[in-house]
Amino acid sequence: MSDRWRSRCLVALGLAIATNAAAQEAPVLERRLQRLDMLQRAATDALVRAERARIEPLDTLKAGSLVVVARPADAALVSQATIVAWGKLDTLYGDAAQRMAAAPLLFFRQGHPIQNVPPAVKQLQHVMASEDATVADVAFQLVRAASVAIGQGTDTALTNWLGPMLLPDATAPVERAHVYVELVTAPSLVVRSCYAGAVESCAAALGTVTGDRALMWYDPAERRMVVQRNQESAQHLGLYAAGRTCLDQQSDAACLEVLHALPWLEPPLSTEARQSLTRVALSLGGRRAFLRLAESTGRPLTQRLAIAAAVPPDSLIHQWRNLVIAARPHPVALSARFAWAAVGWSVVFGLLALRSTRWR
Amino acid sequence: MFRMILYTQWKWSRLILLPAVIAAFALPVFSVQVVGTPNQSGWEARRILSAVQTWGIAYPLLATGIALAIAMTAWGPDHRGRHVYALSLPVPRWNYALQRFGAGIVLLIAPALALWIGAALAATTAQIPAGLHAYPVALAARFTLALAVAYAVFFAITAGTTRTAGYVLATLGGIVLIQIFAASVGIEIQLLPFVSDRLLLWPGPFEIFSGRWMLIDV
Repeated sequence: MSDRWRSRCLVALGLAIATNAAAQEAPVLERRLQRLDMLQRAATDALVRAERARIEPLDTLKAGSLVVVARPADAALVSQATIVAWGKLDTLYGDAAQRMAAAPLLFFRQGHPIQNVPPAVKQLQHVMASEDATVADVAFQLVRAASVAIGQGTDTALTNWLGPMLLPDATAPVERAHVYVELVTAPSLVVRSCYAGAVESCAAALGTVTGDRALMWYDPAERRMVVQRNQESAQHLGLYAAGRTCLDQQSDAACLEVLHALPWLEPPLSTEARQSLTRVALSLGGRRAFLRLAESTGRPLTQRLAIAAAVPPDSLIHQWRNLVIAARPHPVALSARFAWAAVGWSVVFGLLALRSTRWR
Repeated sequence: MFRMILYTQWKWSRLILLPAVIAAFALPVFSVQVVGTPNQSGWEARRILSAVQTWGIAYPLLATGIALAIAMTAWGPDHRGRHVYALSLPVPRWNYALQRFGAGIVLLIAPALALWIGAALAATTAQIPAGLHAYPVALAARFTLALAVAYAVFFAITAGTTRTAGYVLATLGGIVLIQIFAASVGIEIQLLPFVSDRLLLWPGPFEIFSGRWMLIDV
């Protein structure tokens, strides 16, 4: 075959293939697209399966309105702890504890944080407990976390006064015994007056009354002591000279200048005392007491507590004071039982000495 | 016979008793040194409680120390003389031991009385702020009972043989060792807290030593 014929044959073959290809192009491409689409779906499914396999399985445990998400391995422990914690929260906060239904907690053991979870779960408030934590330990942590969550629903004025957490764990007689010691020892004019029986002074000492706190809470000598304890703050506020005048020349005006400039003057009775008053108000006010306390924003604290307790302010403070006075701690524990036990043990050990084996 | 035993025991322990009596008298007096400090106004009550609480640790320690010293001197000469004198007496062993025990108890009255006088003096002379109270009688009574219990324990131990004392020590050491071993192999047992609770809490023998020892309190 000559070269001319060969080239003619090749051209004819090329034309035939090209014509055939053009005729098949659309369906082929369509099939390919379909195959590609299937492959893409399969890849997406595989990716989802892989993601699911990577995400940790979690259990949701519930008691009342308290919802806790935890690993299945911790479910039994957390379930019991949730029941304990809910009982405490419900007792103190009443209906306000139902807020926890909208704020589930995420529990995990120390050193084993839960990471591979959907973002919505990851954003839950974390609660951590040690590896050897008991039901009581976990319940304690749950109560703390839930108390913070419930407290977040209150306004700044109340939180500043009450502290960030009002825990239901406090034993009332122990707390009141501590407050009794404060009533006797707190270096403040109004506290002494409260101890002596003046209800209005108790309200002032607890920081629930508005007014010039430096004048209301302390006498001139006490003001000097407060300035002395806040010398560093005074210096930061550029009141070093006034502070020195207060302390060296015993100028009450200078003391007041420093005290008025301080950003925050802690009430003479501590957070523990304020919380004990709040507990009394909540116990008197019933299940909606905390809700009323949280909702009565903008009013003076005495009034808010009275609204929560559903009793007049004076009556509330009076009841609180009576409970505190009744909780006076036993100073030197020496009861008859105590003494007889000591005598008994002395006799027992004495008899042991008589029965010594030395001479046998 | 009791008078002779008391006399000999007094002779052996008088050099211990003298500083013990002084310490028991001085302790409550020193504990109220901060009371009445001028220019402390409202902070005084808090300072007083803090100071008295700090000194409070010294009362059970002093009671234990005095009781240990008296118990050891009660039996020391007998141990050194290999109990020949005691065996030569025409009395049974229990009678002799009871008289030694009684003589020790009588001698302990001196530091107990000294503490009561010291506490009463401190309470009378100190200017205690309103709301605080002094408890000299309760404190002295508690100190006396603590002396009696500690003395009985140490008397019983020293009355026995060295082997008996060894058993007591070995038991205590064994409890500590078991607790350490269990903790090291990850076994959760609370043996030491269990034992200490049984000893220090009602109705344990050393309950008298626990709690607050406050001459002045709310």
